[in-house]
Amino acid sequence: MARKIRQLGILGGLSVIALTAGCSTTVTLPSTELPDALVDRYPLSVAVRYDEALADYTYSEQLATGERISIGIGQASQAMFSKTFSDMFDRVVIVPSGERPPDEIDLLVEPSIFALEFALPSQTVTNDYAVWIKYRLKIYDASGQEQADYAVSAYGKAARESLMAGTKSALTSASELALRDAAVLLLTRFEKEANLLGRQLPDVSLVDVPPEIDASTPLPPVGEAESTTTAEQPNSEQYL
Amino acid sequence: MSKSVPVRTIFALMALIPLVGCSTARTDIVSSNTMPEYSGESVVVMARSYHTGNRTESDFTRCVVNTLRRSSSGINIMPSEQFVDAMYPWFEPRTAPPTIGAVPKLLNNDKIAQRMRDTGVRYVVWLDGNTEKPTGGGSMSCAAGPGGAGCFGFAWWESDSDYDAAVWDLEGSKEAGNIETRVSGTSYLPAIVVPIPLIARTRSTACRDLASQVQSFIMSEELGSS
Repeated sequence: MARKIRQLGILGGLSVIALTAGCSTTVTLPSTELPDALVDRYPLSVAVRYDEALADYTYSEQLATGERISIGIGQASQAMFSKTFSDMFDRVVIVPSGERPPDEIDLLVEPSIFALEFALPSQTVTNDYAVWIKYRLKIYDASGQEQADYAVSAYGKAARESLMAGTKSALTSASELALRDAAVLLLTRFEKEANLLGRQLPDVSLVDVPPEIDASTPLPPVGEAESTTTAEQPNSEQYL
Repeated sequence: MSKSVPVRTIFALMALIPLVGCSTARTDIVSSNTMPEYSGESVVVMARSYHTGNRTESDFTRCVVNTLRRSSSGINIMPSEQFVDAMYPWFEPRTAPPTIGAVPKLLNNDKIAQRMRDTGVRYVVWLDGNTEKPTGGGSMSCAAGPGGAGCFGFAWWESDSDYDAAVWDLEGSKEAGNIETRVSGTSYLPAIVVPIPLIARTRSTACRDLASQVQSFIMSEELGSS
């Protein structure tokens, strides 16, 4: 009898492992709808050249439980940059990767995704899912000289609405909020970060923005991570 | 047949047990005995930014909004998403004014001030706080087999719902007031075959208390300014 119970226990355990081992969650963010920004446009003509890997960017991480979570934010990020830059500048030209921008532009901006991290309720010890996205922006002036190279660290957090709600919907909400946070950072900090202050610009800064808040500091990554389309991994201190 | 009678009786008695735990509530009261019809500007109810570590649950915010909407006062509640989108990017979790003192600077900009007027919002209610379960205990075990399933044991836990609402009057750029509510309760879960949850609904009690006080507060402010 005891042997049978032990066999049943082993069988049950194996079943649980088999059921959870193959689990995966894939979040592909649609283009987030952003409202028109209440800011004055910079009187600048800007070319935006997207990094080749940006559109296909998907972050994938294998958790210690065997579950794999993938978050695709490439297309949504590109749409966010295009919408935000069109709110910020008088004229925006999208330049295909590898091509030269037109001569009459004032700035060339090259955005790319540097890193993505997420945290699950089991890691935050709350009911919350969190997503951090770190973008890198390289900015060149009309002569092609590098004017700035800076990181935009965005953060989004969403709670699981109910016990029945899945990881997917909460991670999607957190990613959308992080994307919107990135747009807000661009709208409110670009002037300072991109060294536009030396230029002859009208007074376009609307208000002082509160300083960086510690809550947006990423948690240390958990589990093995791999990014399927970016060459750089979040192991450098330079932009973290 | 005769065996089923006591079982039915037990279930009937169980149904008679009110399914609530015990709870105590304390709210700093701002009362108004008369409740005239509200004809003022809109009110927005929002949770404080999670960037500052606030963890107000979204369903608590929804509960306060719905309770205010259902009230007979006629207070016009503007959906917070609509307000935040209209003011984008100046009321986002990262950029929202942390104190009422930062509002005049924001409204110094004509574009922002005009948009604020266009929304028709006069009061912003910022919710802060959350519900925690500081302690609990007991044990329960459940089992299932070919003949049926059941649980046996007893579990309990305490809930503390601690919230406050800061009411900003954007017209005068002043903090009109601050309302706090704290509700504590203990929930019980005894189980003899069937678990019977006796839940202390501290969060919904806190929601009702806070919404009622916010309503009274705004009404009294309106009376005072009219």
